[in-house]
Amino acid sequence: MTSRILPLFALLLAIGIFFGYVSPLWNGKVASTKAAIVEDTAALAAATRYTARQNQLASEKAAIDPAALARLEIFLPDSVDNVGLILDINALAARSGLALSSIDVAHSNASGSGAGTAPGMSGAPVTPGMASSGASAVGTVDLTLAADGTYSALQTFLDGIERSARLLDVRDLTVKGSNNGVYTYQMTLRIYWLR
Amino acid sequence: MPYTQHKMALPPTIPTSFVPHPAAAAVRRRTDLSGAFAFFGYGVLGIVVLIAIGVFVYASILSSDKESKDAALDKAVAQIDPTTVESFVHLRDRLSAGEKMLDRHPAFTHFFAAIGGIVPATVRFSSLHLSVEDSGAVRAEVVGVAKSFNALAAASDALSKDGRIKDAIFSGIKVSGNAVSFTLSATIDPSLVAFTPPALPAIAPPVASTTAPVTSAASTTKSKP
Repeated sequence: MTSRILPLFALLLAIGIFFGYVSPLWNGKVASTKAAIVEDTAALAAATRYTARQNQLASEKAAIDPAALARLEIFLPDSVDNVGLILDINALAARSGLALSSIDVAHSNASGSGAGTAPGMSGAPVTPGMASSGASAVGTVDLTLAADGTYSALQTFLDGIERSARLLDVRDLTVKGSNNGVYTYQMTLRIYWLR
Repeated sequence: MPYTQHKMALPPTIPTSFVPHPAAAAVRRRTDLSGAFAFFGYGVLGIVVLIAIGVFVYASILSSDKESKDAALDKAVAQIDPTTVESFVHLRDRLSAGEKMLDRHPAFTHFFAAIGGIVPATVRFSSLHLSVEDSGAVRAEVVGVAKSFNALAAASDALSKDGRIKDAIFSGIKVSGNAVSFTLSATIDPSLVAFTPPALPAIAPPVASTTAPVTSAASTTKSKP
């Protein structure tokens, strides 16, 4: 009788161990740990790629002339600073021989739609690149100015505007003639900044 | 008589003393089955115990491996500087946006320099309106006066021959004395207002291009408003 009960008990015990310990452990903790390890391995590979990419970018950035980077920051600054720009425009007008009569802000998309679209840029968004830069869209402000001066002064002023260290786009220009050689100009300038 | 042929027959009423014993083969078979069952039961138990130990050890190894990878990952994450990442993204944004905007940067001085050479001296602009549309097209609206119809025709012919001032439509043509007033609407070819970076050799010296007379006396008379 004992010789039959003990093997049966052993068999039942084996079944109990398998379904009570082995199977839950294998399907539970082991499986989740394996999945976590796979994720960790992928993340570590990504971290390795990131480190390599960061080093590459750092070396490429270091290869850029710091003066060029400084000029680039002036070209597309991080802030509007339209007051400082108006002062510069006024100085340029004075050097060119134009007499500015008014400067005003006509239009701004500073609040933006979030899409980063700068109107007037061929209908194309100026949003530069990837989704991570969605908050870094380009903001624009239109400045209107009125001035008087000679035609030569206008050309000098326009040349200065076009070659300004900070990007200034002439979006609209109206020239009205006169008989004394001094003309009336109305101009709309668009300025940009990186949000 | 042969000895073997003398048999004593028992009467059928007398019970015999024979007791049948179980067959030895049947006993041996039952013992074998019990042993096989015991071997199977103990064997299964042993295998399951071994599997349980193996799974336990494997789980321990996996946990240790995960801990080490977690530590390595935490270290790698700690080495990532968000400021550095942001500076790279910002620089990339600045470069790409700057390049796009520079490509569309209008330079109307090129237009003024060109229009003086295109339009005959017998035509004078009294007002000029240039505008960059959202599509990127540059429109020109001009009100002017020509000395005669022939001068106006010469101006129209010159514009069409040049090709950079497109869709030139003269309208509102009125004769006042000897002069002919008109309104001109046209589309300016983007190449005529395309900005050329100063670093390129094709660009004129900045001071010379801005201070020196762009056109002759005749051209300034004819092209400027």
